[in-house]
Amino acid sequence: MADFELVLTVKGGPSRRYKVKPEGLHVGRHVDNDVVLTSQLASRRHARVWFERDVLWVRDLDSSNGIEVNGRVVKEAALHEGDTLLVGGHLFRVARSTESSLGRTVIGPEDADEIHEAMVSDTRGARLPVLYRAARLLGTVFDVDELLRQILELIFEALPVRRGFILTLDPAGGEPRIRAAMSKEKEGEDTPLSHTLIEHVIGHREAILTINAQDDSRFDRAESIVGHRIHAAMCAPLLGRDKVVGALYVDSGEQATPFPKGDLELLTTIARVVGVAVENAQLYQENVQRERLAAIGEATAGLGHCVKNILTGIRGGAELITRAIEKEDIGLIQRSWTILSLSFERIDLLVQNLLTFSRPTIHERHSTDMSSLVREVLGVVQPRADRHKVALVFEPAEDVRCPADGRQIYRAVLNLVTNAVEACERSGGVVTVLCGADERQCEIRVEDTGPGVPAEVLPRLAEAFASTKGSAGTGLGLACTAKIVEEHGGRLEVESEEGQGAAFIIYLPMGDAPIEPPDDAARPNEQLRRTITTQPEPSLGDH
Amino acid sequence: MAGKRVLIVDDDEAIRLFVEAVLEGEGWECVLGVNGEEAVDMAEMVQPDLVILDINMPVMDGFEAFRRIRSSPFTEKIPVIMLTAVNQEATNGHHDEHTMERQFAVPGPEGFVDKPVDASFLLNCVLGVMG
Repeated sequence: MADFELVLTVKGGPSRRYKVKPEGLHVGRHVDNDVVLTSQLASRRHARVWFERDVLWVRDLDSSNGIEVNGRVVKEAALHEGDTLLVGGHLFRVARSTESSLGRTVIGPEDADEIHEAMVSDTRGARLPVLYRAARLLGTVFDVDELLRQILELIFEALPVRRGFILTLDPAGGEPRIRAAMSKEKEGEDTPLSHTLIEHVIGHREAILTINAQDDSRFDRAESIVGHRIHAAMCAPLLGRDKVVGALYVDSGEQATPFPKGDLELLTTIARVVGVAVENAQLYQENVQRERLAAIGEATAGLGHCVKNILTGIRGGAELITRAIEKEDIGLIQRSWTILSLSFERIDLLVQNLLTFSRPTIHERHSTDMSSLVREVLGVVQPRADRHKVALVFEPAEDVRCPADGRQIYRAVLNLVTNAVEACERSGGVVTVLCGADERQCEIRVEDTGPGVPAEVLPRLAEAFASTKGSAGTGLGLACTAKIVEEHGGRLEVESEEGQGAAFIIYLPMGDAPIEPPDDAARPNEQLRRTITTQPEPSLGDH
Repeated sequence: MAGKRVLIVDDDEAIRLFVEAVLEGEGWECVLGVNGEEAVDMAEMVQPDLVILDINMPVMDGFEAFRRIRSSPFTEKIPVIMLTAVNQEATNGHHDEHTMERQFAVPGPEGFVDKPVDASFLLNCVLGVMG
């Protein structure tokens, strides 16, 4: 249905415009008419203008003086843009609705682009500071909800609004949701906002200003605007790159203050700024979600793979024991038992590391005898080292005590020593553990004569489930050790060159203050030494 | 299978020992390796009648080791059984002999045994491959 209006030109004054409502207009001398004529030539109910099948019609309601369309007397006729209509001595022109028609103003998406350009290039414009501040907010406030709140504050400063709302659409669909709201209305008197208006703005991607919402034929009379006597309202879509992400709505509450068209232009431009911010936040959120799912997938796959390998040992060992018993083969029983023990050791390590890794541990630090702790670890790993002809050497300093959660540090050292023995298993070798302390820090150093850590693997060392040991590794050991050491305020470092063995060093603080990062300049062989941390390394893509 | 020699390559000690125990019980002479590089070297050196090869290993993985064993004139005729953990190999895109044939342009492995390895399934597979 096209939008038409009757334009009455009054000599010496501005023309008056009467919008044709969907239910039509009555023209006549009586006050009940939509267009009230004061001329004596007009009958009480003179004519009716209405739409029928998208065509605008006029009919003479048996008036005394009749009506004329384009200078011709008619009883009933179709009206087109540019036609003239003479009723009771008043000459109306039939026109398409324009922005200044009584009722509402519409800015379509194309217009919005032009306005945006015009406003940005209008350096003398009084509104530029507002836009500048909006753009500044975008660059300085990174929390979207805070940004939206500050944008509303800005709008309240710049425009005579009583209430303001920013609504966003969930990318997954559903009704627009109020994300930020501000009101000058008295508490308890707040009225709901116009959903018809918002739905229209979102559906049509156009900004709308209604000067007198109650008279606006666009909106259902049963709707909230009328019910709550909202006089003037403006609403602009939040436009993302290719879709509407929400709406910015303001109204004058119950005050009959109309908004000039310029206000809608300003609101539309601010809405564009907000639209980009909201869309960016949504994209970021989606990205985080995707990464989280990918990480869970990777963790589950890694864990599944590891458990499957352990299961082979357990199942195989059990099967062999059954056979050995049937055959009364003691030798086979012993071999099967070794397979079972190995598998139990591994599943125990896996579960302990999983627990350490997954729960935030609050460490109770007590004075701990580090030399005994290391001896205990070596005792546990000794049988395995013996099997693979790996020598374990311990060089403790005298009476090394350090405030620590002994159980956790035991686990951290066990992981390092187990790794070191595994690294030497292929060719035999030596694993040396050194332990010492000064007044600032305690140092536990685990060295091996294995193949060393390839340079390309170093950055991924503390990544959970990123094993470099094939089926034999869980990929959790070093990640756990790094976590435990960090939670103690300490630091885990590696020194390694491919083919030259490796050393992993735990530094724990003697006092409460965490250990300071190393002074790089004081360490000439820096390229062979680095800190292992659970914090991701900054990559070129991160800013 | 008395007098036959098998090369078992897996970085997981428990699996290595298990496969060794099962096959020794059937009269095989077992030689053990712990990574792909060892698999390639030892296959050439000890000339086994069969290679049992894990896929996910450090230094060199089982796929690359398989490709090299098949490409060398000294080892190309030795039958190979791959130990697979389905999920992981599926993500690498070669989870059956046809995919591996296409990928490496060599005849695919003679057999596949899924982890967790079952002794009777392993023996059946070995019997099938050795005729």
